[in-house]
Amino acid sequence: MTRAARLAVPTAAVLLLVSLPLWANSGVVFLAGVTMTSAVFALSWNLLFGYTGLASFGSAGFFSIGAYVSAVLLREGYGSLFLLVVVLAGLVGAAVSWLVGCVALRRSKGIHLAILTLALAELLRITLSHTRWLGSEDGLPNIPRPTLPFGFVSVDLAAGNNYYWFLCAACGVLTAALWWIAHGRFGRVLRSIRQDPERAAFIGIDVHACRLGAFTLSGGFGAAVGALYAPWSQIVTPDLGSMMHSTQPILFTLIGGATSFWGPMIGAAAFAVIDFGTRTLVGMSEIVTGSILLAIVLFAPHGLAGAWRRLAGARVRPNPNGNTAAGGAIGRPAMREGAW
Amino acid sequence: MTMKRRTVLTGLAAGAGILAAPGILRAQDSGPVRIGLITTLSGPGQFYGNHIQTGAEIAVERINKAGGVAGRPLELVVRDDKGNPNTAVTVFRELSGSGIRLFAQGTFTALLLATTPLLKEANATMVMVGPQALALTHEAFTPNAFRLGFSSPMAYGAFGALMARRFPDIGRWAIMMSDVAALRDIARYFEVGLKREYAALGRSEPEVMNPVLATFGAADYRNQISTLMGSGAEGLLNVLQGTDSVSYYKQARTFGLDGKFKAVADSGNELSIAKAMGGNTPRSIWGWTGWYQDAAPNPVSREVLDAHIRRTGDGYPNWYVGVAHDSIAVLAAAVAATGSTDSAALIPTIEAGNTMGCTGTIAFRKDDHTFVGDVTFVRFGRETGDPKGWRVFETATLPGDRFVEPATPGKPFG
Repeated sequence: MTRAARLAVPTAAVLLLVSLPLWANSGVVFLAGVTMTSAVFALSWNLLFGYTGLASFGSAGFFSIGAYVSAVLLREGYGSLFLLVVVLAGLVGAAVSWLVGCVALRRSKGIHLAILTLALAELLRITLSHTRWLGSEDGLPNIPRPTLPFGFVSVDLAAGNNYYWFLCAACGVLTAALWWIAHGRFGRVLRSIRQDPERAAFIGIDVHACRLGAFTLSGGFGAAVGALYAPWSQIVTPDLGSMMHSTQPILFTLIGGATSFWGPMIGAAAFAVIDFGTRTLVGMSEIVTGSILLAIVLFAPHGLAGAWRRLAGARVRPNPNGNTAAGGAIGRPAMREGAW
Repeated sequence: MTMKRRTVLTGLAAGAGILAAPGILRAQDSGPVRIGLITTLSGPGQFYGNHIQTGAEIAVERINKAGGVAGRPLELVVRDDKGNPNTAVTVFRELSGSGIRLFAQGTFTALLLATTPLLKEANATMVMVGPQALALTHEAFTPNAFRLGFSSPMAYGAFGALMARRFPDIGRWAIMMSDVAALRDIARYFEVGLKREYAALGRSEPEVMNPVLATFGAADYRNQISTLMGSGAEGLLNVLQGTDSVSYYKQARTFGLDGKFKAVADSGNELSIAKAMGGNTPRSIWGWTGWYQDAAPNPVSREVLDAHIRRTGDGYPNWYVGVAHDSIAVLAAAVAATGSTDSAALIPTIEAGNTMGCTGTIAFRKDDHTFVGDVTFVRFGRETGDPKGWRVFETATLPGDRFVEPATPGKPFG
């Protein structure tokens, strides 16, 4: 594939997203905003799964922490400090994630880690649903969209589609940060741990510290994007931390492809298109959606990103063990740097 | 393989073509008067959503048969909110973006709290179908929304009062409840109504025991039933919902709980319990309902019941059918009266309205747009002589305005 052709698709996607409010129905615009946050959330999850080889089934807990922090502070009138609110939410999510990781990663991995994180997220959800000042089961509605002051100029994000464009920019920044981490030295270290932790330890990598770092970063990014989501949806409920929400990044990653950095994002977009396209098939939409997803998983085991790579001729070269999938134990890196 | 520029451009054009499909791009109002119905048609809430859809469809059928609204046919545009606030907002924005200004939505509070703040900006008017949560007409009040549902103080305060009148000698009440925050209000206002009525009757205040709790969705209630059996209470309020209730009543029967209590009150399952359990229905249960045709018969109620029987063969429709019908009827009547779908015209018309529906004359309190109508109760139970295995023994109606909480729009109540 030529460089121009490779750039055409992401450029078109960005243009499509940014221009959406100019020509699309407001329902589609709202869905696009939700999908952007879901996509970044899925990318943060894949930093753990695709890069580090750890599967968390409770990632929605961190998302809900960020969403609630943002919701409470915005309702309390801290809208002018919204950028700091997002950073603070990310830090709170990272701190909780670090605490959970300190305990969980020492004691468990694989399925045990998955179940432990799931249980902790459920604990958080139940606690939120019984906390009256956080709205119990009905959550916190009427979250105001903030006004951002930039020196002499202030931007009212509640006006028109301003928050949508802000969301585009903020999700872009978070995605860029995740890309930088994933493709930098730390990302390479994580991939070496995923492929062979013992070998990584032998060459001097502190495996536990790096796993904990990835877990903390994943939780922090999940919470930050949760903080962006709250004023977009203008309501947060305990269900944001539910098991169903935790399975979303897993689903998006499987659809899009765990072997690609962009896979979870592609999966989120594909799912949104399918879900919206089947909205009028009341009673049938789940069957149609499920069938399409099943077909993708069966016929494109590397997800849509893998299928695209094959289509574009950039074949995934099998490693010496014949394993190309993320999380696939030992051997040559399945995730090629710079590949998408 | 090298990707040619033409291939890329063709792909982009095809993508743009798909996105430009009708229904995604903005559309304009034309032809029929369209009402968007947003309800839960998949997942655990489907039980309620199906009844709401049926009631709304019956209303549209009746109105169109009578000539439509101001000479235009009425069209229902149904969307599934999937029990998810995001989906509710997406479909609301989709429908409002396509020019729809009239909405009926129900019944989960969190989903209504997600969409009602959007009504004003969309110049839309909504009737909320059946919700009970106080927030909707208090701290989250929006003038563009009307609650055609029974607030917890009204429904359960009246229920407590009815039980006090019917069973003035009971000195101790027990409560069986799922450990869900939203259900606590039911027990709370039942207790308030009960104690106030005892006081009004000049009786000493009854003891209301702490609720016996079960996990939501539990399958085994034997421990809880044992606790209730040994409680010494003579009255029992069940605040379990849906299938939890069926499991509970089935297990309670084997314990003989049926004959242990002088009074059994059920908070929200009404005749669904009897329809599910048939000949195993408990001996006698008092249940609250939002609509029961024989309690306060009127011609609209009769027509809706007949239409329901024609559609489903079921002569005991869930109360959501009646309330959903009335929600559509209110919107249609307001459009007919004003000839407009503009919210500025519709809101005062609905506030002053006197539409006749299944639930009688539909009246909303002007201050906070909460429904103030009669509160209906049915007593039903096992009946060996009846082919269904159960029957309704009697009904009772209390005036809702006696029990409805004070209006505090924009501020929390209590």
